[in-house]
Amino acid sequence: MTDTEWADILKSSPKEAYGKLVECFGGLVYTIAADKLAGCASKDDIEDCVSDIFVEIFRSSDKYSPDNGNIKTFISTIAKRRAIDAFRQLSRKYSTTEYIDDPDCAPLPNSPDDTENEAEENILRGTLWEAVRSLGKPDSTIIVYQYYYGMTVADIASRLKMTAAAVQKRSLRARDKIKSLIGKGEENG
Amino acid sequence: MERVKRMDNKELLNKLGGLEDHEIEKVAEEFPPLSDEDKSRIIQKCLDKTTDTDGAEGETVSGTEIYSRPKWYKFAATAAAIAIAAIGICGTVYLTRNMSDPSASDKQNQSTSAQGAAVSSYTITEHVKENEKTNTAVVTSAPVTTTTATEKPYVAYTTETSSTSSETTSSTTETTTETDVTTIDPLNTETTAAATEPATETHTETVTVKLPVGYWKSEEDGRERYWLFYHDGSGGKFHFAETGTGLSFTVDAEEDHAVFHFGSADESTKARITWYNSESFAIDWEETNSHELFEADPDEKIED
Repeated sequence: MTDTEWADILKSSPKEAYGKLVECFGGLVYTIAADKLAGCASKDDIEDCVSDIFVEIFRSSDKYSPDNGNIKTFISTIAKRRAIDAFRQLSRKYSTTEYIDDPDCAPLPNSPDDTENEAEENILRGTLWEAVRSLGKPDSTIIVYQYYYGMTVADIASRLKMTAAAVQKRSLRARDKIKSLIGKGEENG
Repeated sequence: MERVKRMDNKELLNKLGGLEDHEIEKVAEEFPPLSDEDKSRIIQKCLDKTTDTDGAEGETVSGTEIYSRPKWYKFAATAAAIAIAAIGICGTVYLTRNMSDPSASDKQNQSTSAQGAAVSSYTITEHVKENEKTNTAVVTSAPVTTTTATEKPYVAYTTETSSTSSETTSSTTETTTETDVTTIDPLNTETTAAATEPATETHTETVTVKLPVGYWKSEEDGRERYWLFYHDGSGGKFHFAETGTGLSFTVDAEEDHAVFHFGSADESTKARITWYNSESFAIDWEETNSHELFEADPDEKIED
C-alpha cells in the first residue's frame, strides 16, 4: 500500500482507518509502546497506550502528507512521543519514587553524558537479546512476551496454546539459562 | 560484569527495553505481539475513544434564552431613585439653612419691602403690666426697617400685639402702655422682646406701618405743601408753597395707622398711609376725611 493510499485511508471512516492501521502497524506500535514502558506497565496499560496512539494518528491525518515522509515514520514518531507521555503518567500513578539512601533502591539511571555506562547498557542489552534468541522457540517467545511485552503467564499460555504450568516451567528454565549464557559469555570475553 | 551477577532474573530481563528503532521493528516481526483477538479489542478501544471525544466535541447549542427581569425590580429601582433624590434635596435644604449667617437672616426678616443698607434701627416697646396675677397685655412696636433718604422713602413700624391670659382670672382686660426704646443692635431687640414674653398662653398679631422719610411735596384741594420727614421716623415739618408758613410735627405708629402731632403733642391726627410706589404715596386724614397725594421732592424745597 502506497503512502498516498494511506493518506486517503486516514481520511476515511474511523472504523476502516483503525482496521487497516492496526492490521498493518499494530505489531510495530505495540512493540514501541512495550519498549518504552518496559518494566512499569501491564498488558492493559500497553494496550491503552496503543489505542491512544492510533486515535492520535487518526486525528492527525490532516498533518500527514506523503511528500513529507512515509507513513511508517509518521506513525513511529507519534507512537514514541505518546509512549513516553504514558510512561510519565504511569510513573506518577504507581509512585515509583525511591530514596537513594534505601539499600533496595535501584541504581540511578545514567546521566546523558555518562557515555561509559550507556555503552555498557547497550552491550548488555545486545548480549541479553542474543541469549534470548539462542533459547529457540517457544522459550524465547515466552521470555519476550513475559518480560518485554508484559503479558501474564495465562495470556502467554493462551497465545501459545500451552498450559500455564508449562509456560511457567519453561520461563524459569529459560531465565536460568539466559543468566548462565551471559555469565559464560562474560568469562569467555 | 559483576553487576550482572548481582541482578536477579527479573531485574536482568527488564533490561530488554530501550532498543533502537530498527531493532524494535525487527522484534515486532520476530515476535508478533498481537493476536487477532487483541487487534479487535484495540480497534474497539480506538472507536470508543473516538466516539466519546467526538460526541463531546459535537455538542452544539442553538437559540437564545430570553432573560426576564423580575417585575418588582423596576418599581424598586424607581422607589430607590426617588428616595435618593428626596434625601439629596432635604440634605441640601438643611445644610443651606444651618450654614447661612443667622444675623443676615434676622436682617432679612426685619426688612419688609425695603432694600439697601440699613443706617439705623429702632425699637419701640410698649409694655404694660396691669395685673400680673390676672391679665397681661403686651404690645411691642418695632420699626425694623431703616432706609436712606434717597433710596428708601419710609421706615416701617412693625407692631406685635401679644395677649396673655392667666388661668386665675374670670375676665380679661387689655391695657396698653407705650414705651419708646431706641436701640442700635438688632440683637437687643430680641432681648427686649424676650424679656417681655409672658409665660402663659399668648396670641400675637403683627401690623406694619410705613412712615415716610425724606423730602416730599403734596397737593390737596389745590394747595401745595412741601414736607420733610426726619430719617429717624420721629417726625418732621412742612410748609405751604403759597404762603411759606408751616408747622413741625411728631409722628407715631399705632397699630395699623400713623398718628401725627402737629404743633404740640396734645394735638393728634390719625392718618392712614397708602404707598403706591417708592416715589408716591397718599395719606387719608381721618379728622378731615381728606385724601392728600404725596410725591418725592427732588428739589428739597423745604429747609432742613
